[in-house]
Amino acid sequence: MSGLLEAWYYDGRTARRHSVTLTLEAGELLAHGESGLLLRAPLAHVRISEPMGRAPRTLTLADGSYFEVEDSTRLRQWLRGAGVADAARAYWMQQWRVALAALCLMLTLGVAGYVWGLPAASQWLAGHLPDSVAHSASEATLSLMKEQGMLEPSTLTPARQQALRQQIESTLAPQIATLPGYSLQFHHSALGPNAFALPDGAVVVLDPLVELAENDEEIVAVVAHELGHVAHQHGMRQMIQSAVVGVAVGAMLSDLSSVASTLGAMLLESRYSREFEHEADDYAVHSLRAAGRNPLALASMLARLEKAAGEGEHGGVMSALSSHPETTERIARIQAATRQQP
Amino acid sequence: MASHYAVLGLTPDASQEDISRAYLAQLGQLQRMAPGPAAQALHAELDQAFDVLYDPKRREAYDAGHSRTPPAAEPEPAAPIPVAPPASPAEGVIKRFEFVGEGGAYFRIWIVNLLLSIVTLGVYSAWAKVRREQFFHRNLLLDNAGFDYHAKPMAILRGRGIAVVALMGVMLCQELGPVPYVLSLLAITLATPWLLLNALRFRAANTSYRGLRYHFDARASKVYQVFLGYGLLSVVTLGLAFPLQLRAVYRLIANHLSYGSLRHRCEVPLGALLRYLLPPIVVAMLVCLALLAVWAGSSESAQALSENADADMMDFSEELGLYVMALIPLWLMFRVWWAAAKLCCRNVMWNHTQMGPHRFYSALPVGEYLVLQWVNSMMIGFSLGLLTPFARVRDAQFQARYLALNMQGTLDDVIATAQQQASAVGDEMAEAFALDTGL
Repeated sequence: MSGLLEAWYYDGRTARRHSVTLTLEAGELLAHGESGLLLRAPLAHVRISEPMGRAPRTLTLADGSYFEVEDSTRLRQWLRGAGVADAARAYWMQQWRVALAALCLMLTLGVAGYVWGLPAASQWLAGHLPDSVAHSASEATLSLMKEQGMLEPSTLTPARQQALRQQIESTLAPQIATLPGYSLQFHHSALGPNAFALPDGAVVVLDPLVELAENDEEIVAVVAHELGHVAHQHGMRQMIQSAVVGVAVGAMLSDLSSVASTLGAMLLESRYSREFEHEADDYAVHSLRAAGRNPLALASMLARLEKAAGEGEHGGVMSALSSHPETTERIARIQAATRQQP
Repeated sequence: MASHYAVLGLTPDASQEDISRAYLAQLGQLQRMAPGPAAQALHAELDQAFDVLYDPKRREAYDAGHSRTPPAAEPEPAAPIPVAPPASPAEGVIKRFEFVGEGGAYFRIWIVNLLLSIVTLGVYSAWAKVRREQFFHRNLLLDNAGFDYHAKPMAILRGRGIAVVALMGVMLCQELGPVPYVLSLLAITLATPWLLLNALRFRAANTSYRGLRYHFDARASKVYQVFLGYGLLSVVTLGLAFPLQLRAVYRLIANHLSYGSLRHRCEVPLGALLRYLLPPIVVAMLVCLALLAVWAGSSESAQALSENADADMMDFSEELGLYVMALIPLWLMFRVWWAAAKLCCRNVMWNHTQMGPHRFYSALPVGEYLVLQWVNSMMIGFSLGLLTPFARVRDAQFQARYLALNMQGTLDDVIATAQQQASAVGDEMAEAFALDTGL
């Protein structure tokens, strides 16, 4: 036996509402209308809806007709009084404890995913993507840069190009042998002194960098650094990681503004690019030392590049977000690595 | 004792429509008052004012009595007025929509949904969607009865799977080159009306109220006519035909939506839509034309200058930058104007929509609602999304507060109709591609 519970009954065929009083008797749900007993159903066949705040709850019968109880607190008491367990799933899912635990777990997952998960996943994915993907992405980047006038034919003489190429390829021969996609290109560019590696292994050296370098050792060191990016598949990994970060940050911040989500994504990605630069630096130090060259050439070239950039318009505010980590920090790392293993 | 007109903030020449709208707006305001004797008294006063003024005969008697005798002498029943005025088939009873959900309750559902969706790599998101929709449907009450949502998670999961495949297909086409990409975009555009039709069908078929499902039965040809036909017309006329398209969309959705055996009907007067939409459209057109003229003029002068030194070019581009900077606040102002115009149109749409003999009333205060939306987006942004559930609930509460149904008699004679099968693909695709259903 249990108390009385006021409810509306809807038969599912019309919108008519019947005022009923529900009781529970020996595992059966009994509905009494104005003119006596309306219907009875075994409670085991009644589907009780999950509590959702102050929303009315329903007790649905097998034929789709249902009772609607406006007062969800009263329903809970009524069920408890009758010794019927309320839907367990709904209860554990709606406890504040569970919500807070979920929140903590999600923050942990977010941080762990950002620090370890995404880099590991992108590394795995980059290793398993067919080479053609990296190749077509690289081709697309190069042709876009050429269309935009950012890359022009090199102004270095063929002899100078040939000499540089020979020096680079003989010094870094063991590394190049492990990189089947490797190629070396010289281009003139208004972008200033710079060099970059494309995902498929193409290394592009810009003329201003060659002009800025004090000696060829420094150019070789820069190419060794770029080969580090190629060997660690930083190109593809960066594409994957920034796509994921962009989507995640966009989902969180797009309500605020697109500027905020762009800035947020840049901030998060800067950690990744720092890691990439460090990896590439380590690779360069290692390969230069193996070839019997002085790894400090990379440090001196970095200092020179920093100086050149400082003299230009850029720098200042943007340097906090720049994709190259603070150069002094990198130089210190290179020097330390050079000293460490004489 | 203030006159019934004063209570509703009206003058004695107010129309019946004005009266119901004012009553509704006042009730909306009332809901935000702290509950207590003051609110109850005000509520009773509002109900009484509405009861008297909405019935033409009682209003006539009241007007006559009011002008003859001083207001204080008027007999006022001292007994508390029932919250819902008694039903009478002739004039109908105003039943307000009410959203009783609370942010805290939704937060708990939302956070667990999110975690499980992430942990299961998105598979749980189908179940999460059902729980979310159930929360928003069940907490929406009309005449003390809740709505309900019945979609099956497996159907949604299948739909999501297909949507994801389609989305990846488009991304793949983008990689393949411009021609496949344009072709894939074209295919999506052509499929859009069909997807929207399916989305509307699915949502309607899975929504119920008082045990009866809704259903949406527009024909594909009609949907294509409205979305592609009128859409093209809008583009060709540089937006001038947009009010026509909006009216067609409103009509398409309302006139093909049924609640059980009860059909909806929407007869929006074009004039009302034009009044709100035409000024922003014309202003935008003129501004665009003016900018084009300036741009054409300046590019000519730039050509003339092209022999000059680079310094001139620098000055010129700086000047252009200033123009752009000046345009940003203008653009933001225009965005607000446009959003307000569309909300006004939505009020008009509701106020000309009927479910069978029962009329809807909407008195959404546009300015306040825009502020609420702005605050909501700030809340979400600055909490990195954590306050999203509270923002969504605030929004639902606000929207429901200003919507009501003028019930003529009861809904007792509405009967169920044969249920149609609806697939979730359209709904999920519409969500994946961020298609706007317009309602």
